Amino acid sequence: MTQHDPEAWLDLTRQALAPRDADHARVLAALEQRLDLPSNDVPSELACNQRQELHSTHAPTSSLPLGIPSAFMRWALSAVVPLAGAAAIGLFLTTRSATPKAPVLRPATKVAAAVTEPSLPDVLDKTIAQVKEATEPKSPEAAPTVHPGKEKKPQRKKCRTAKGTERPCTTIKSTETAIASEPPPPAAAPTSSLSKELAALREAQRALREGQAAHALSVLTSFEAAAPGPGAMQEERHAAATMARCTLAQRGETKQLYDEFMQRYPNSAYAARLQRTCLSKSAR
Amino acid sequence: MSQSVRQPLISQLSAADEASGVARTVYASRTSATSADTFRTFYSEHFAFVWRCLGALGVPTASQDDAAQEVFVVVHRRLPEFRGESSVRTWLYGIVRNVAANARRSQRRKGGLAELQGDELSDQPDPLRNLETREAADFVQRFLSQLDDEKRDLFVLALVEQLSMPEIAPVLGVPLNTAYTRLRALRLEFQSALAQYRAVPP
Repeated sequence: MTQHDPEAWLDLTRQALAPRDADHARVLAALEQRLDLPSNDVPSELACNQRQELHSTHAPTSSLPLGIPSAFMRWALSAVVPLAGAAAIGLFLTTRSATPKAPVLRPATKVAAAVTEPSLPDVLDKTIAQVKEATEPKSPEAAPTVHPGKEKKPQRKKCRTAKGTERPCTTIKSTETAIASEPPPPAAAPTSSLSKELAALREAQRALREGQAAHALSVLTSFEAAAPGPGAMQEERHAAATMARCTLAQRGETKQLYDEFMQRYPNSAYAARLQRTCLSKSAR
Repeated sequence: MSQSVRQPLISQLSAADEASGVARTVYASRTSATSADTFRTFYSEHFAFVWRCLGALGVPTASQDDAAQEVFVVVHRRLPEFRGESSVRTWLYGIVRNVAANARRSQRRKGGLAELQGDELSDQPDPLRNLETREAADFVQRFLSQLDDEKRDLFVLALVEQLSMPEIAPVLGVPLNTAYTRLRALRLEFQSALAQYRAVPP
């Protein structure tokens, strides 16, 4: 140290004491779980936007993005009606045996999605890009597990009518897989593992709050498979996974799950919550 | 939230908070129940302050996560009571100080030595700068550990966090002029310790 000025030393001390971004995110994630705060609106919206973006780029049969204002949708629809009409006529002429309804609708939404995508508001584009960075799945198979949730209702409805199943993501998965085989998927942007870990943990927490323990577990398992090794929030992930397992487990198994967690993290802040979830079930 | 509802909550504040004059500083804009968004905003605005204060008050790096969580758990509980009649940071510091004291006690019970700050400064691209930062933090931590609680509060708030003296005096529970006098004395003490350290490096 060459500086003799006390103020310089104080400046350096301030720098040394300053938290890093990881500290900020880690403590916030732990607090969200500890205080049982409802999930941040921004990430859930971002997740929704990302899903919409995936649909508009990879799934031509999907509906228009949910976040687009109705006026904008009207504009987009009016812009593509001539194109859709032309496409419909073309299809009608080439496949006379087909019912007119399906071919008319399919190209219409396809073109609408293509037209609206570049015209999205800047803010939406920005958030989509952020989410893409933060939560892009490693494989097409992982995509449905990363984007569940209640904000998906309109699409869930659509999938049900199309497929007649209870699982809305099945359609998304199949269309994405099919589309992904045509053009090469864009290379994943370099992302921090902490962002992915945070996204997975938030998703799992949201699923747990909504009573979807199986989904929470699958999110965490997918994350661990994609990013093996200890993460910055390993304890939080294990706590969430144990909570999900306790919810799903038979009566006799929950105590063992709780004991295993406590053995690994004896001073965990999640002990009380896990006790409530796991031991109350085993005592019943 | 009506005054009749708020009053019993204020009475639940600790004696240390009362002494520091913190208990009466309640946030005007947060009269309704603490929403998650309000809490997150508060967290984003003040996390760095809390983290630095915890470090400066001698909370070991290994316990800093837990201590920061404790602080914000208390904040989450008490934020609706805060009316904003004085600085939010001095109110927050009252909580930080109590949590830090508990963390230090816990560390002493475990018999562990408090780690000095600056152990993980690998973000610094310049190794020399990294070394300097670590050395400064090391020195200041040692200096702070020799001070009594009142001087330590003054040092952290005035010299590390650079709060104004009118903000700090109520925390210390002393008149403004007394606070200025103590700060002058503390500055001299710090300079003297630094000169001594420079003369005889460890």
